[in-house]
Amino acid sequence: MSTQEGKLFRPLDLLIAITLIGVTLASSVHIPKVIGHWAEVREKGRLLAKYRLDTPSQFYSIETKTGLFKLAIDEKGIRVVEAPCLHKICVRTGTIKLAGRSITCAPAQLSIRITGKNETDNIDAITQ
Amino acid sequence: MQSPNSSFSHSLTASGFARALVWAAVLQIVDSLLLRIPLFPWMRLGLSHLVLLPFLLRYGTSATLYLFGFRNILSLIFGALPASSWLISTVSGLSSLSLLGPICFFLVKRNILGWLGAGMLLSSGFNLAQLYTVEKLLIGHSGFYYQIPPLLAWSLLSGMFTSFLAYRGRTQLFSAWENQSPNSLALRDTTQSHLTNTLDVSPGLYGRIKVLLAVLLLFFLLPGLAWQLSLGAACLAFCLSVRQNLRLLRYTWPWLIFLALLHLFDTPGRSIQGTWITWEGLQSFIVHASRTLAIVWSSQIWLAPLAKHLIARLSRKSGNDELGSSRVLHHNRQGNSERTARFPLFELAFSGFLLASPKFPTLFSEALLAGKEISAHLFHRRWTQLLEPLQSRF
Repeated sequence: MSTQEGKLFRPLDLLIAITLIGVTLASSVHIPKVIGHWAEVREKGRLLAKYRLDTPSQFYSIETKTGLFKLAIDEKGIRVVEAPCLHKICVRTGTIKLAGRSITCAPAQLSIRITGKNETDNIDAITQ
Repeated sequence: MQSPNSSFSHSLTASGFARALVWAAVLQIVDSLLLRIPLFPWMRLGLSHLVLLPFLLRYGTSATLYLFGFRNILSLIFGALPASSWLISTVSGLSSLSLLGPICFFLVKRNILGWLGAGMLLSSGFNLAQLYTVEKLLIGHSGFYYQIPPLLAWSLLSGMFTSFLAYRGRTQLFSAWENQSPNSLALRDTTQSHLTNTLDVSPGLYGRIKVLLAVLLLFFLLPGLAWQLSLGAACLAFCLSVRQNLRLLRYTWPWLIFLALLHLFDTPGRSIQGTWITWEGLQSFIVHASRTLAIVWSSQIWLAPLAKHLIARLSRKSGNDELGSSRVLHHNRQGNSERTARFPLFELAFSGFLLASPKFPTLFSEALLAGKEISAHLFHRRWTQLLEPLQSRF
């Protein structure tokens, strides 16, 4: 084979690897490790519902254009129990509780995002 | 930076493109059928980069963009890939490949960048583009960007893994694509002889194919179990009327297992008495399985004649009597093309796609037969012959 095909390793590869590791470490420092208080459910960016996370265990149903989602909230956080999509990536994401984390269902254009405390903390749930 | 065709210095045939396409699509389908990591379900191995990376470094960005696009079309049809995943993969893959492909090609050819670096760049670029695509096209907010650190770390590992394997196998891959050694890694029955020998097209078949394609389209437009079952039964009846037996069923077992794992065994709801399967899971499984099986079964009948018909039309149009496997596109270093076609690369890639696609309805048949032979060797304790089926078939 000719040298035109390139070599397996060049010094620039190491620089790329170090840069990727650096960016990974730097961006992981900025991820909040605070327990969230609210779970916002959005369909294509539009707020569908907002639930308190520090309430007793409860199941919620959310009707979207794609179908019905069932959510469970308990002391561990919020998770998707049932989804109408094919690969069920949202169900397999599991439970989230830390602020800033989210569960995404691309086929249904749905996202569940954990947020921190705010002025509506005395309300249990908001639905639209 | 390379222009689309000017540095296309290796000859590529439609059958060579078809081979690369079959491998890339098969690896993509296997990748999508594998179960995901629970905490990070978006992470995948990116197995098809084993083909895409050497193809990019051999034939340049334009040819690789066609390979990527046609790979995704085959995965959409035969990979049980949801439309949203297809959209994310296509948009992010084409955009990251357009941007990073020429850079990698240019730097690797000049020995500035290695295959490992190219693999890491392409992998991380693709994964970041996926997040951006999801935000802009589907979800509408950026709440999931916290996944960047694990995704980048994963890109680093998967990019190195696939580029290392691709580098080790590049000689065999290039030989197979350029027909230098037909027996090395050659994919059987994907070229001209397969299409000409597979089917004698009966006069009424094209009419029936049109009806079947319309029924298949309805399958995805009309929701509900009753519709799905009726249409599934109609497709099955059509397949049986043509082939007279249920032989086709045996090739579809991996799709059924995949769908059962996703739907039948993993869906909450009301349990069927005495079992751990729910009614909701059973209903969801039936809907998805009947859709997938209808496509796989029926495409064993309509795909080969349709591909043959289109290749014949393409050949007539370009004044070439032979089928697409003989199409050769060779650009020399000055960028002069041997053939004068308006879109030569598209024609070549489309011919390759038409040659490759009839292989997919029986995608798992070779694996099934190899597994059967391996089981027989195991049963009779013929340890030394265990890998013989794999060596002879693949």
